[in-house]
Amino acid sequence: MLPLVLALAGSAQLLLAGPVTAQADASRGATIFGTNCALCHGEGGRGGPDGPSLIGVGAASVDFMLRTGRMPLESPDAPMERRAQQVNDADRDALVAYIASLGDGPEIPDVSGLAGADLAHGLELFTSNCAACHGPTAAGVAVGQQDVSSTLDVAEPIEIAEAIRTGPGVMPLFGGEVLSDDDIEAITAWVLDLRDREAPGGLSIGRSGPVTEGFVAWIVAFGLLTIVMYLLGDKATDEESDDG
Amino acid sequence: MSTPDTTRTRPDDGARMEALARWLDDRLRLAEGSRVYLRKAFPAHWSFLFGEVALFSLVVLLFTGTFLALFYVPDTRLVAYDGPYAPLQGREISAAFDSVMRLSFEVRAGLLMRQIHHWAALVFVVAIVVHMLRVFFTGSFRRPRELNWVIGVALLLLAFGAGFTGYSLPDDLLSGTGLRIGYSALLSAPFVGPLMGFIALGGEFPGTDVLGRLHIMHVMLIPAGLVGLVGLHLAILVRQKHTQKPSPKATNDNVVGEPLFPNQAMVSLSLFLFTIAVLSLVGGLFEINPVWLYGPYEPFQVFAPAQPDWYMGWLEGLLRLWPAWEFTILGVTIPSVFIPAVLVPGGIFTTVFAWPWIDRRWITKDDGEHHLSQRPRDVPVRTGIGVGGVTLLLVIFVAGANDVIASDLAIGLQATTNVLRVLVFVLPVMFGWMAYRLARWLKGDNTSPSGADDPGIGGAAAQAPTEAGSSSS
Amino acid sequence: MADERGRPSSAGMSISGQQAEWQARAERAGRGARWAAISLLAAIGSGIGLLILYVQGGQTQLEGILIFMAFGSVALALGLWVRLVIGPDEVIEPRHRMASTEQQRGAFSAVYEDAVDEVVDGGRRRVLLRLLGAAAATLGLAVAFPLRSLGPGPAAELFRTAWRPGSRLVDQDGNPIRLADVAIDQAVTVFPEDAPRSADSQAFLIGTRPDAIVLDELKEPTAQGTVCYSKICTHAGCPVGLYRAQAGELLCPCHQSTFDVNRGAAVKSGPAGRPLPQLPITVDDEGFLVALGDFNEPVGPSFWNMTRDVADE
Repeated sequence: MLPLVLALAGSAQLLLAGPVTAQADASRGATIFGTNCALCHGEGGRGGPDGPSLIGVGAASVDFMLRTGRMPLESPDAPMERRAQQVNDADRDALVAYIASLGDGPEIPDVSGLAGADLAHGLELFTSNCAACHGPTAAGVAVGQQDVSSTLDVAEPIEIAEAIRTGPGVMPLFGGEVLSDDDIEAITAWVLDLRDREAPGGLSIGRSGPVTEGFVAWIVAFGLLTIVMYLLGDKATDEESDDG
Repeated sequence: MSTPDTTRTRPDDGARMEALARWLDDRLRLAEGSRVYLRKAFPAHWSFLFGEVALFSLVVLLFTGTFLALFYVPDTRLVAYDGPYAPLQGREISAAFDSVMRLSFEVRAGLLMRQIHHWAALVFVVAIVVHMLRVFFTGSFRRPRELNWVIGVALLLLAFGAGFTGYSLPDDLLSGTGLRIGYSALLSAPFVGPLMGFIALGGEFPGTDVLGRLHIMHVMLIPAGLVGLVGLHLAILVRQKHTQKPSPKATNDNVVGEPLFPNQAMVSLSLFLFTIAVLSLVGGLFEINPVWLYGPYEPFQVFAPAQPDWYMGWLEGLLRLWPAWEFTILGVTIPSVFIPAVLVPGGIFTTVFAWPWIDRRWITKDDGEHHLSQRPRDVPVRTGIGVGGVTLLLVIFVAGANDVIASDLAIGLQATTNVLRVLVFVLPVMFGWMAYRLARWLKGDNTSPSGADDPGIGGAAAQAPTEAGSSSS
Repeated sequence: MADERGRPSSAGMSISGQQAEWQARAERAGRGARWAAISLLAAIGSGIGLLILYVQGGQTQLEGILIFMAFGSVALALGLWVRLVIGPDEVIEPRHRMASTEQQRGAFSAVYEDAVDEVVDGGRRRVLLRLLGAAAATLGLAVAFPLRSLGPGPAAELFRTAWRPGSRLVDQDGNPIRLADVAIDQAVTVFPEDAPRSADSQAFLIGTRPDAIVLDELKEPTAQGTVCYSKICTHAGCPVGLYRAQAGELLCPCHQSTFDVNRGAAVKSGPAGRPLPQLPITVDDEGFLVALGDFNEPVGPSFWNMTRDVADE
């Protein structure tokens, strides 16, 4: 009897948790922020000489940065690149709650509907909005100066959706009026399909297009043929060699 | 009186062959000519086989291309995709793109044929280029082979054209971008540019006629040119006989080689079958031009990295490296693409076409008849210039892939471009000079760097002999 | 040692030396023949495998491998046959001078000149010949007519797009765009409402950062800092598809021309010769973005007479 009551009570508490938990998270997040992030991002996320203001960046932005290990940076000059997540999940959620409380910004998108997403729509949107920088196969491309767009090989669906909404780094953002939530799910579903689908043509050799194809033509195809030619043809023998 | 023939295991076969031969000879008088040709001498060094690989690649292209042409629809009209590739389901695409999708996903062996065709196109140009380099560095373009050199360079240009028109046929986003650039290059010519562009496309870009016109270029006009010029190229080769490496036996007055039949015929047949085999292997194993990932062409869409097929990489590099020089004089604007897209390639190809005469006038300074190939070390000046030229083209090629390199090597994009701008001057001079010195050193310094100690037959003022069939110089 | 036919020669060898040569040759030939036979068997096997595979529906990679094995095995067999079994052979032929002899040339000239004489009739038909030449030249020119028919002249096409004063900006699906929908750091491809997805009218609508945009350097009006430029690169015509939000730069992927969005799309680096033309825009009463007219310059790659004034053509 008692376990049942406790279970019911526990479930009830979780169901009713809502704002109470969020508040608890946010205040815990404030503490973590003050210890680890305020040095660069300033007190209250106001921004400082080494880090931009986080007021109004929204939950999605923070969640993205923390999930992909881009934040926290070891030093302000360190490049922002994908790593393993540096904080644990609970701390991440706390920080997200805290920053979200500082001002309105893009919320964490919902990617639960991936299974039913429209792949064709996703491909069309990806080509229109994403392929210019990420490449048609999301392989990552040089996009000017030192910047290289991410390959999307290992990105989680939630990370893809968050990046689209928040435009991290040099990436532009795509707001709700340009891409709806369904659109975002469609794009994400297509990226995943790209990863999972077997290349019907065979080895996809990095999917960088004609550049790698050219290398294969010269080295693999013509290389094999050169070996064949060498074996079939005559070699210059000692008799024929000439020093003149 | 016939003696029992113990070499034939199937007497009927031999009798049938003889009957056929008689039938043909009764009508065509083939016996004497065939006898002569059966034992023709073919210098058989393995480096003489590059041209054959090009020829065999062309045969593969014609065969697979015919198959593709039976499915391809050169139409820009829109249809809704209704095939098995889910990410394109319901999408409005051109009938051309749709036909390529159908070929790739719904026709048995269709994707294989498409891929073999495209790999063969790439290897075709590789073989031509390597063959050309062999001819260049061994001086095999010298009299009497200047005509074949010119025909060969024309074949290279036709190969470029075949490739460009061919990979533009699927109407995908990557090749459509390339078409746009080609059109802009046409447009850039002073006075006639816009007219030429509109005539070529039947109106402003993109228009609706372009695929049909590319199609006719690709399946009719260019193949006719290729086959015709290859035929001429081979006929001249047969008439002049192949060059050979010099040796105590091989001189300017003879041909030393393997007989056509059975040796050279079997070698060539073997190489032909190997070419088919290798092209089929890469055609099956390596994905090429996955247009379903690029999507159909829309003039307002683009993606990076955007490169053409490898043999256009030098043009791409020129366009990326060239500075933003655009100026207007007396109301005439010279667009920034004009010089790198039209004038510079024009200059390069004019030089290449004219090389036998440049070589004769300024390097070897002899216009004798030459049938012996030289070694690169024999003419250090030519070798130095050749290596410098090849280096220049290589640097420009690399520049055409500057974004792929910048991202692979984690260097800044603009920095990569600027470094290449310097290298384009420094490296050709450096490597050309090094090749020159190396050739001179290998040759021995006391001989002429211009290869003038091999005057060939007929020396400075080419004199016709007074006797027919004179075989001594 | 080799004889003049390239075959191993016994000249100058001892008897046992000769025997060793012949034995080596025979061994090589035997080996070659054996391996050639195995290859041909492999070819037959691969061919049958290919047939079975095809009948069962086919598979691209396996098809490629089996064709490689089938053709490659025959090729290998032929190669072994010619190199090992038959062995190298040699023929030597004389080479003749390519030029004809003087007698031959003279004989040709005689015949040719006789024929020409008949045509020219001892110089009396010169006028006829000249007329023939002129007729040929005229007909040659006429060959150009089918070429000219292939397309219209450019007229003013290159100077104009489909944008008109009052054209509403729509996205690629035809939806009009409100200023309020354009967030900072956002870039949307837009078209005139009357000509959605029109190739030459494509434009990029960009939500610039208010502290970054330099309005004085813009040639045309904006909608409170939200700016609109032609999306067609002025270098070689590719859509300038990469928006580097943080830097306020548009990068063209084809040859890397970079345009500064905050300073009138001026060329920052790369081979483009002029800035992207700007579309003058404003907001209508309902909050939708509309154009005030066409771009301030011809769009796309430059062409020779683009500075011509075609205002009222």
